[in-house]
Amino acid sequence: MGEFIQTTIGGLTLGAQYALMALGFSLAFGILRVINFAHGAFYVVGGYLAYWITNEVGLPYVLGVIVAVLGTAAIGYVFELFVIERRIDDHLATIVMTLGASLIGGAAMLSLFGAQAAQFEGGLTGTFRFGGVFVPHARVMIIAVAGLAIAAVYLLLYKTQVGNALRALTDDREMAVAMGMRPKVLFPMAFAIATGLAGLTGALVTPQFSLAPFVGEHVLMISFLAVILGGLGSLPGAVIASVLVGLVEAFVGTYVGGSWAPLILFTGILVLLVARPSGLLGHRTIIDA
Amino acid sequence: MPKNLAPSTTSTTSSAVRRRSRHVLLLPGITLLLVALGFFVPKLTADPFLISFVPTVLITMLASMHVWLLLRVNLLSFASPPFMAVGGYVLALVATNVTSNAIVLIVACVVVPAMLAIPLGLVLLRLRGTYFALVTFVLAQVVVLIVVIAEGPLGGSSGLSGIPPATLGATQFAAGGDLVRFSVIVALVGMALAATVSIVWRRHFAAIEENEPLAASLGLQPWRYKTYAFVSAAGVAGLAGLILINQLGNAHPDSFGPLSAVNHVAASVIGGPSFLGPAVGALILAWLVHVFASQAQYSQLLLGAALILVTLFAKRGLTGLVVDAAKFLARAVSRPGPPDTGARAEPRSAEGDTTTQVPNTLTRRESVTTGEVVLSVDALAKRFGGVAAVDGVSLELRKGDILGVIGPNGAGKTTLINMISGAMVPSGGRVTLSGKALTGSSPQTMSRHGIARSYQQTSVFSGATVRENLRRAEAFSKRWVSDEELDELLRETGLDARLDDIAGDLPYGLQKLLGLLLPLATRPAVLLLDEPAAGLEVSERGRIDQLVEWAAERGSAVLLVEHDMDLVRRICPRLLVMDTGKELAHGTPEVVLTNPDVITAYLGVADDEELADIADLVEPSVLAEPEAGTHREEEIHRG
Repeated sequence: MGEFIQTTIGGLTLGAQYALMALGFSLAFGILRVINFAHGAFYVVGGYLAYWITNEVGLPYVLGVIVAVLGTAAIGYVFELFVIERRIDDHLATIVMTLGASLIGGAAMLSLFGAQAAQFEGGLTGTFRFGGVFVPHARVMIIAVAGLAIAAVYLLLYKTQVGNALRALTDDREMAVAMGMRPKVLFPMAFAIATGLAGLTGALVTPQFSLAPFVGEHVLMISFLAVILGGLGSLPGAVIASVLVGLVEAFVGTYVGGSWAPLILFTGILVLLVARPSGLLGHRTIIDA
Repeated sequence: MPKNLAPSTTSTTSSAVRRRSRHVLLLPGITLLLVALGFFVPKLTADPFLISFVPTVLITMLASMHVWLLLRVNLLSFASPPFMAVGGYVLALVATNVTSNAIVLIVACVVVPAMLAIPLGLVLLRLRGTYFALVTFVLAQVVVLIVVIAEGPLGGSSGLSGIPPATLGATQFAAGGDLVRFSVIVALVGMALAATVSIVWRRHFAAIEENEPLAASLGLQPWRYKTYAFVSAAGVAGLAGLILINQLGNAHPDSFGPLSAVNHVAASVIGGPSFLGPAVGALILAWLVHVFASQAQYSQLLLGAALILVTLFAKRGLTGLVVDAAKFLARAVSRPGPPDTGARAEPRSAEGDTTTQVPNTLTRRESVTTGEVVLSVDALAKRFGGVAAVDGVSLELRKGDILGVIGPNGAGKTTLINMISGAMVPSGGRVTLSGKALTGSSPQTMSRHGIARSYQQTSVFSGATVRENLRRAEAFSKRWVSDEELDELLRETGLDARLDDIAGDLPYGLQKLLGLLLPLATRPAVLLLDEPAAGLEVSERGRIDQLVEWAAERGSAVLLVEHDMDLVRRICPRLLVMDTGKELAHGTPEVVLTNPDVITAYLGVADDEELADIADLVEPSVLAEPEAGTHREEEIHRG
């Protein structure tokens, strides 16, 4: 029973981390219709920014996190404005360009910090203990931040004027532009929020996992899983799917064994795509994407 | 693809339209020659650097060829590593357990991945664009995981080692020149496969890449040609796996990491859509990796930058740049003066041709009331969420009949055409063609049964010449007009003088007429025209009369959606008025256009007294007024 509860809590915290990872990715696709292959790279850059501020400059961890968010958001803003925006209507072109950005991001971190994994502790080290169940403070903090970030993105998109404008641009860019919305301001901003979330995730999560130039691949894969499973562009879908992925990984890991967990997940996704191509919660036809 | 590189210079006659261009074979020919050279010159096969470098380049080239082939049908695939893995492990298992005969191995490494691609293609090719790309990425991950889990047969994460090299007779292709030669032979097989597929179906691929809806509406079955591309691309990737594992001597899941696909995509994009693209891209990639062998980050940095720059500034890759430069040089050499002015005979198109009057010579056809009912539409409906765009519309069309469908914007006219032509699946009702139930069939099925359509916006293969547009339509369609008829159509539209012009460069009016000519030339039983006159000059509109008349004379049943009331009155003996998805009136133009309901729908007048006044005043051309906005909008799009 103790093992079951520990596994459930482990799965939920893992799921919350995955939700945070997938959030920015899902946002970029939901608003810009861009599959951001550089999402993992932004995560890594965020992680290294926080590491650099905390460990090498010697400022508090909180400042590191803030710099990570602002830095990745700024890079994302510039990248959208000067690169993606020029080919925004060509889905294949945006994939290729974000792939390019991902290569550049990984390579830059490699040349600045080396191939060795960085010793990054983060700011929180304690552990909560309820009966036989252990939960590190950092994970509780990640769950809280994930909840806040999801709520903030949801409110931004559905309860604010900017959110309405963004969704209008997604639905019918030409018409929205004719109505006076400015994609050259709003789209870079949306992409900056998405990459800023990736940076935030990197700053918070890399102390839990590991920080090396290419750990972003795993994050990218998790994001793929979550958004395919949840339905491309569906924020609630991505969140629910992330938690699901976390739970499956924890349970299969505990009761079946290592490499079966990802295999079951990935195969499950292929099967799901056959049965229900729009994902668990997606209702739009993505077949004509 | 090497289309359009050298458009033939003859013009006008349809026999010339049919003539095949020989240049298509040129580029693969040169490639084969170059590779064969490298194969036979002994100095090249003894160099220790080349012995490891050549197979590496060839592996990347074949893997990029996989990506390249699928890009030709507008799909981005990250599935090169999984199919390479299938090829590689097939080699490992066959060579270890059955035979190391090179021919058997090559055949097996093509056939097994290709066979696996058939069921996978059935599932994955239903997805398009971004989704297909994502799913192939997931597929790559799945295959690696399967290999890791299959510890028994595939060695799991420790891999399979001690794989015997391929042999032929007494020769072992294990190392040195023999390894290079074997790799080259395998690469040649892969290139020949890719070349065959991309040449035989070049029109189909190019049409899918440029304008899939149009191609489907002309009768092409996109899924079929995507499957051909996917299956052959799987075989080509399998061969890449064969070279790799034969070179390494052991098979390991790490050799097929999903992210290696990024390199293959990069090589393919940087190389460009020419057949030489993957080879050029692979060479550059391998060279980068070699130069920065000790500092991988720099090659990666350059590669990432190249990907972005090529996508932004050189859409057709490096080979495209070379071709453009060669063309530029050729032009500069052959014509020292300012290039290209007055080179082409000024066409007899409508633009400068103000003398063409709207023809009064045609008398309106009588409504056809006898004879075979070709198209029967019964209570057709389409709902988008809670909105009924089309709500129970019924109509019948006989051979040679012309039915005009009019109504205010948003009345559901285009939706009606979309459902009859198969572009949309109806929510209710039936579409029957000569007694055959076709409700909800795909556009290509509709087309194959003889339902053709034109589009409201211009829809042509805009990157190809007018001549190539016609060739493609002919290749896709089951039915086609005679040469004489095609000549007549080309003359009537003024396109005969523009056969060698790129369709996308034509003025709007001519593009629109070409978009009309393509379905017309498929000799349709039913021709659906969606606002053919929208955006045309008044002088060009007369040609619509001729074309519709031409089709009706040859027995096509024509359904014409149009806002130009003069045009509608000139050619339609019968009108169907739609409003908010429903039929509002149906009858001769004289009766229908004076119907108070119709006038209300157009002008939004509800008051009875006003109605009485307007009914006296109303000129049919006034009815066109609310649509003026549409035309203006289209004029903006033109610019």
